[in-house]
Amino acid sequence: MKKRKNLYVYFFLLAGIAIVLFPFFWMILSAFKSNADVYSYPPKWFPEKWNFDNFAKVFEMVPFGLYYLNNIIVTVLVTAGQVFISILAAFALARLNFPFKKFIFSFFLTTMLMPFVITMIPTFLIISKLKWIDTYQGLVVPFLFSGFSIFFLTNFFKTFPNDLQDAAKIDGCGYFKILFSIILPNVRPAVSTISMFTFLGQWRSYLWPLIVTNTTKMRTLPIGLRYLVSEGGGEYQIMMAASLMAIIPVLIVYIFCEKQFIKSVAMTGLK
Amino acid sequence: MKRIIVLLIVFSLLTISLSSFSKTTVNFWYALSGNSGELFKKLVDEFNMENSDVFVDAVYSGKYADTAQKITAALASDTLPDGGIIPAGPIFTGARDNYLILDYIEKDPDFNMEDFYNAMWDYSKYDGKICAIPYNISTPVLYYNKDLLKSSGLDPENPPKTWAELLEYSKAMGKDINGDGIFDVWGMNMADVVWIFKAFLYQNGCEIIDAHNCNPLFDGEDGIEAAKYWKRLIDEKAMPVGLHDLAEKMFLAGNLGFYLGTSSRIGKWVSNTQFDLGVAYLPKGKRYGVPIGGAVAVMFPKNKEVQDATYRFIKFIVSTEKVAEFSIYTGYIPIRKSALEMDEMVELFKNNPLYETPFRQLEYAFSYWHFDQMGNMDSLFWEAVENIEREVMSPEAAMKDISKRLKEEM
Amino acid sequence: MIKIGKGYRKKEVLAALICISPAVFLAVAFIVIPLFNVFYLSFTNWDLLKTSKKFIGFDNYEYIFKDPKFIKSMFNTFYFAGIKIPLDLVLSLFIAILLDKKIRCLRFFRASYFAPVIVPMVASTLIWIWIYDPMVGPLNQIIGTFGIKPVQWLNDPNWAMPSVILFSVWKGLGYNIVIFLAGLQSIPENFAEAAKIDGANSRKIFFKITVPLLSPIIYFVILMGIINSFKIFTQISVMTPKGGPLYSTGVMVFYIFQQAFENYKIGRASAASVVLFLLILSITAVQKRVGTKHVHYD
Repeated sequence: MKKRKNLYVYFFLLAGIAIVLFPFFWMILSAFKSNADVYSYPPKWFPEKWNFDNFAKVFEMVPFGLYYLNNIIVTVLVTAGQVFISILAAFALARLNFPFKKFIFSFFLTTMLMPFVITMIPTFLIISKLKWIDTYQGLVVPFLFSGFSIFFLTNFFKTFPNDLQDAAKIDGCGYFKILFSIILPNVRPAVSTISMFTFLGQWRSYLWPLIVTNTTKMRTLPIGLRYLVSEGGGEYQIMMAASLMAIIPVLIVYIFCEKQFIKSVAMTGLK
Repeated sequence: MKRIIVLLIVFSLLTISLSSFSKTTVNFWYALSGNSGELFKKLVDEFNMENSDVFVDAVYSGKYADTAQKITAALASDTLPDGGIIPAGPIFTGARDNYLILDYIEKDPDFNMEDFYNAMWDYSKYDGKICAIPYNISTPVLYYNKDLLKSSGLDPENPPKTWAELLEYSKAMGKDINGDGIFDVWGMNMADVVWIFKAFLYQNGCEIIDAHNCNPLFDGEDGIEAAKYWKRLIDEKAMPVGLHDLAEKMFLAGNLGFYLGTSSRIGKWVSNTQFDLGVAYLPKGKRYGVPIGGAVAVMFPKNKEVQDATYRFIKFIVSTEKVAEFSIYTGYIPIRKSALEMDEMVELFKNNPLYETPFRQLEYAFSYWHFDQMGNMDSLFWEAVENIEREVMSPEAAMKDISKRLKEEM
Repeated sequence: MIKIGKGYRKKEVLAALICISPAVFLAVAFIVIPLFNVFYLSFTNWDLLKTSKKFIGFDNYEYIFKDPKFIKSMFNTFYFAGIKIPLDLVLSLFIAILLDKKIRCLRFFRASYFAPVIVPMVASTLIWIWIYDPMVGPLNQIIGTFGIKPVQWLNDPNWAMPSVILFSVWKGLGYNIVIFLAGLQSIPENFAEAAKIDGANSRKIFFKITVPLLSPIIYFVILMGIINSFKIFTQISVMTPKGGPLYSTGVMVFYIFQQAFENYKIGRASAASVVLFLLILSITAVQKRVGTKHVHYD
């Protein structure tokens, strides 16, 4: 009886996974297809011949290396900066007592409601007044604040037991020492999770880098990806090859810290 | 991790400082990708090699729609580039009273305006005055799949010349292969719906808009008749409803007889399709007619040194020789008459007669000059076509509706 | 923590000030000021193709509320949220419950379901555009083997929005599954055991024990669902660049984007932005009021 029931469970789960993973499967297969494979009818599932031309073409068409490097620089700077600022803010909101705390917290929450498209033009005006167009500052600074990161970390920091903090205070620890040597080491999964979220969000950011950069040397990867879709319809298989290359670093980061990641995604919901 | 970050920062600072030379730098945007983007980059490199005192930093500004976004932000903050190849260029220059490029052309004794086609100059005007130089210009042509024509019992060497033939041939080619009741092969389709729709309007004798006072003319009898023809193409199953964004893919897959689209595909498609490709004039209604499309070269006011350098670069890319090179590689139309006489061009026509059609079709090209509501008019046309195809409105009602709305906007 | 009366400790407040000020400063500079700017611009006729900009009162608001496209975009936004959020909720809870059945290879299953979350949005939309392609796409081929007639997915006014929703559910499902799974695993087993002894069947256990205990998580998932649904934009603009057939997928952010970046009407775009902002604000406020009942268990 029990065994049969479990059989159903596996059946549903595997069917679900087949659906969920199918697009990946399709992307990987397609990255190796030729033009003829793509446009054949009925659709060909497997490439006639596995070829790597599409990847070579991507490198030929855009300065992929430079864009990749820029993307890494910008993404790392945003991630590091945003996480640092968010840790400080979350520490204050979760562990310290000060006037207007509730107000500031709800203010941060409200900022999560704003789609970036809405504030984009005014933000651009500010950046241009600061003469930050086409600079790393221009790409990085507007994204150093994130309501979600602060919200996420605040919830997490609240789970940290009070007595430990109090004990530390009795030992004469300052507030920053409490944060950096007592709390932080204990909330590493949360920090790595929010880092990953920021990294992901930034890695794919397209519209802002396109608008705020004016020279080739400042360009980032997603702009290069868009270049491959030529006017009026690009070639599917080249796009797939480029997407695959863009996804790989993300996949590596994911595989690397999957366990911690899942653990703290789960924590966001719990509080 | 820390060390990597430090390294990255140092590296990025290095790349920044390395590029600060004492040359005049020209910030130039271009909205060309794929084949034409590649060739354009090559031209930029050539120019930079030949000119030691100028450095053109040419930057891909995204597809047409993306470029429009970039321009929007730049307009809002006064951070426009020094120049660019930009779609709808005149509404970013002339409309804001920037006729800089005309000054340069007029003062330049070497610049022969006569060598450019008139319709192209019209395309580069705002309010009747030149404010751009045509660059990557194309007109729609009729691409056809010879194999499909043959297998449908049609003569592959005799593509349709009139609207009636276009309808008849297209009907003959559509079929349902797998028996699910839905056509798998279609007679005709197009990706740039609004562009082709405007071609039909014009071919039927409708002048579309009076650019002098922005008065819409498409709700007249000629316009409505063209809209009714569109409806017939749908009703008689010559063309699928609402699958226009797939037209190019359908054609390449060999499931489409006629593709009505930009001549700039020739460079990529010639000898690259799995079937025998043909190229012909767009069939005629009451008359032949093809609208001009594409992007134009513009300049934005900066200090004199930069302006001079920008003009020099633009002049370089529109020189007869470079224009011929660009056209041969991409299939965009040579904007200069003299380019057609170049040896390379003569040879091309001999080896690749497909190119000749669009290049010769220019005598039927038309254009109205740019006006503020041009983009709005195009999106209204798109709505009208959707409403007609999906039977939300009759052709007549749809045309009257958008004409009324355009007038309100003005 | 020991508090002396209503006062604050000086040192603590100072530390808090240092910690919070960078975030506050950035939020003011890049969110509050732009927001006020948008608010101000919504009362002007700023058109980027013209050089003048003047105050015109509520004209922009009048215009957008008379614009059938704007009304449609509001409808589409609610349509998206109304279908996507419940669908997401039910599916992810269902899968999480299956995963909670002490199965083998849990890590593999969980990681697989989570994988779509980490794929960049543009890359995944490109894959799905191909999947939905009515002519050469695999989806029609698959349903064809079951004898179902081909559907035009993104090219059909009735199917375009469901197609975008299906994609979005695929993209975000894994996130909620992981959250629910963690929630389920933290429910002490003796609760269900005790109920079973009392003669409760599994449906009763689910609705009387599991759901109430999960309620804070369900609340969180719905809240984030609402916020993100009203902000939906990227997949719409990549999958249906013109807002779908007959504007069937044109959501509010898409409308705003079109007004600003295609029509260059910053004033109108700003007015629509203000409406959207107030809408999100009021919906989340209502939800907060309704859903503040938290459940505690030891």
